[in-house]
Amino acid sequence: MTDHEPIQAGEGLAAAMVAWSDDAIISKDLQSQITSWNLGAERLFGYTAREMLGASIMRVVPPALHDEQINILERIRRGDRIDHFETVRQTKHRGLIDVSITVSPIKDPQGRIIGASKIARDITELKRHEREIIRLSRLYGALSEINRAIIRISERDALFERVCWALVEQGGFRAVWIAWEEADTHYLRPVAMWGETKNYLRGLELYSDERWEGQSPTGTAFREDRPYISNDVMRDPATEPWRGRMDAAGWCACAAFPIRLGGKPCAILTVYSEQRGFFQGREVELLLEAANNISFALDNFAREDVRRRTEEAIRQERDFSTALINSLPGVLYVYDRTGRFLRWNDNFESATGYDSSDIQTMIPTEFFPEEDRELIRSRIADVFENGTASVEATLLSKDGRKTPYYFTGVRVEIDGDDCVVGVGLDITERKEAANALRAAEDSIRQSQAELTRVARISVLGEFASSIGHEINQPLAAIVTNSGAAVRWLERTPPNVGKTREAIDRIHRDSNLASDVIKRLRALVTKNALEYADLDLNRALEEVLVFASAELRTCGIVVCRELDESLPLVHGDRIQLQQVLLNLVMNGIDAMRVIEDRAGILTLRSKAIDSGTVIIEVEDNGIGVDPATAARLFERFFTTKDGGTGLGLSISRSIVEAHGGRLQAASGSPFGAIFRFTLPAAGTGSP
Amino acid sequence: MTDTSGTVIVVDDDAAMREALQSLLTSVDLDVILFGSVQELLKDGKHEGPCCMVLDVRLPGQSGLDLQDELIRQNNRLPIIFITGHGDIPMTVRAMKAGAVEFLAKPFRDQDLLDAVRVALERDRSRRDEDVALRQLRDRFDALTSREREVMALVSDGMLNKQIASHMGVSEVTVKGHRGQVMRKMGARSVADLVRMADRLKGPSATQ
Repeated sequence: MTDHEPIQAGEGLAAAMVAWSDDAIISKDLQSQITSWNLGAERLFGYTAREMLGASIMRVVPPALHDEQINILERIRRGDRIDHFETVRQTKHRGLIDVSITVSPIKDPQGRIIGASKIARDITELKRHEREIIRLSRLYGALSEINRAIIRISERDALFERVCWALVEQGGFRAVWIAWEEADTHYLRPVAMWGETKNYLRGLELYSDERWEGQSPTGTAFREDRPYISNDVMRDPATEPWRGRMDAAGWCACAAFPIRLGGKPCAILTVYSEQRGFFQGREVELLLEAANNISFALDNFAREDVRRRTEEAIRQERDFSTALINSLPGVLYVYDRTGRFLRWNDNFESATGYDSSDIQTMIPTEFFPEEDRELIRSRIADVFENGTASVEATLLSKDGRKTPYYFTGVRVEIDGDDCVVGVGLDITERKEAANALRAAEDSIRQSQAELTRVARISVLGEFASSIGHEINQPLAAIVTNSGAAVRWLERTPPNVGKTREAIDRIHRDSNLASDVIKRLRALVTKNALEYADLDLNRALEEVLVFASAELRTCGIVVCRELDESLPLVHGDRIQLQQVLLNLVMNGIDAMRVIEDRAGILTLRSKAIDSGTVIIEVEDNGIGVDPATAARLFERFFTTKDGGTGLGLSISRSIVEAHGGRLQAASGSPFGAIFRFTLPAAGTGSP
Repeated sequence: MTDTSGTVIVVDDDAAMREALQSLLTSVDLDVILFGSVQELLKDGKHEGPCCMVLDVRLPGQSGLDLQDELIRQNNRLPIIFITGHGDIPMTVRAMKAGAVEFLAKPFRDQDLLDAVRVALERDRSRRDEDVALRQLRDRFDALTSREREVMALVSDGMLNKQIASHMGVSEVTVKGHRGQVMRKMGARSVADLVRMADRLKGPSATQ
């Protein structure tokens, strides 16, 4: 403790306070020569007052801060006071220390500034804490950034990249990298890095196994599944092979933390600090937490990956099935037992005009007009009960459009519930085609009917003279009777009795002629088919009326072998009579030219099994030429002059339309037998 | 009409027509005999008095035209009226050539038939008269000697007595005697009358 003039001016108490103060109290002149150096200064800087008095203050100022010191002196000279200025000072034994200094000018009694007093307080510990706090807060910042990244980023390498970035840019590390172990080679392949890593990592090959390249902090931490801390890389034997690289990069400490997947190390996080001894308990703890969080993220990725892959597979499956159902030409839909629609294709929406929000609230029957709904309901019940059903119905769209559809439904189990998968096809075209076909068929049927009628008239034409005779005969009798009646009346006295007889005969013969005409008209008139139960024997007799004159002219004897108890048949009388007429005419024609024997036309009717009626028309004429027998029923085939070739072909069509068969056989010893069968009425005939 | 009596034979296979014809013909007091076929007719005998036949062309078995041929072959000159439901021209021509009285298509006017029947009966009556006269003439002719027949033939050929005498190689007086005998026996009132008789005798005998 040295007495100082300005202080001398004070009381002894003040001097004692200076002398014994914990703070370093120094005074110096304007040339920076130390003029006082108390005990506190001795304690703080390690130099004794003896050493320092008269020495330059620059002795405790680090060379880098000499300018700062000059600047301070400059301000003192101007009379400024510098309060709590934090700076670094050189000590004798402790190296650099953080100090807070307050510098005030010292004035002589005249007010001239003659020096400066300086109070310096050791704030090293304070500063260390401050720096620790900053470091930790940066680390916290990095950790929370990493956690954010874990939440945000769903891809491994991107996450690693972000981790490296955060630790460097937020955590204040010089360099950070993450390596992924290649399972087969144990090579630790760098997959993410940030900071001044380029030179360091170039040509660097680290491994996780026992080889010497595996003995690095990184390899060891991985292999032993624990953090490896090297707070002074220059002294750690483990870092020896790479020390040059780290030194070149200016790194003083490093630490490696394993990152796990499914509980086992899979990657390694290595961080480098320029600060020796950086990795203290709190720092290690935070980095460990970061590594664990990353591990958690990786596990999550794996789970996520499985989930995503599953979802992807499901999505692809769904995309595929969507594409599939949308590529279908018709509508497709799936609904459950309650009628709720689970799925449908685009066509379903476009065909119905309803959008998906409509369809979700609708049930199947609502897509059909009122009159079809009962049918649809029963088909839906069918498909749930029997597994499949189909229906032709009209699809009613939102705007009232009606389109014929053919629907097929199949019951399927979806998630344990019975559902119906249905497809519907627009059958408008098919319907139109069917209608066109039906129209064509109608016109064919009509022309067929017309042809049949023409053929009938044609065969009647062959009987024309015969028929004429049948009408002429009663007519002649009528005329003659009327002449007779007049003459009986003109007699004197009139013979009323004879007149009456004649008139009765006229009446009778008129009816006879009229009957013939009626029957004839029935045969030639264009009539719709009229199916009724009828007696073929009677139909045959009526036909014979038309033929009788012809038969007589040709001298043909008709022989009847008719079954009196013949069952009725169900059919169109006119058409069946046409068949009979044809067969009789053919028989007459076959016998017209024979001269060596009398023509006999045999007509037979009989029943077999009480279910079938057989009619036979047999002649003893020229017979059927075996060469043409096969073509007998061919349309337009004829052996007769002026024949149409329609008679037998149409007859066969008629018989077959009545559920029977028409066949020809040779007679014995002459002629031909035409035989046709018909089902008896009530045995399933048309 | 001098005489309206007579018998009409009807052959028609149609019963209604037969009834009608019977009624019509009896209404004008004609006798009617009905047959359904030629066979039935042929089984029946001949009939006295003026007679004619109403015959349907088409009949079961033998037809009306066949019957006509048959009758002609038998020199049965029974007048025939054909009726038919469907007569054609060849058939009509054939029937008329063969001497049918009429060919009527059914239906015919009753008057047409009755007219035809009358004509037929008249024809039959005159034929029957003629037959009687011819038979008498032949009886007379048969009573002539061969010389007298020769003279009659030459007279009707238009020869004079002198020529006949020269032709026969007898005297003219002998010829005159035969000629007178012929005129008396034959009942001829003049030479012209005798010539007509010779013609009539020649006719049917020539066809036989």
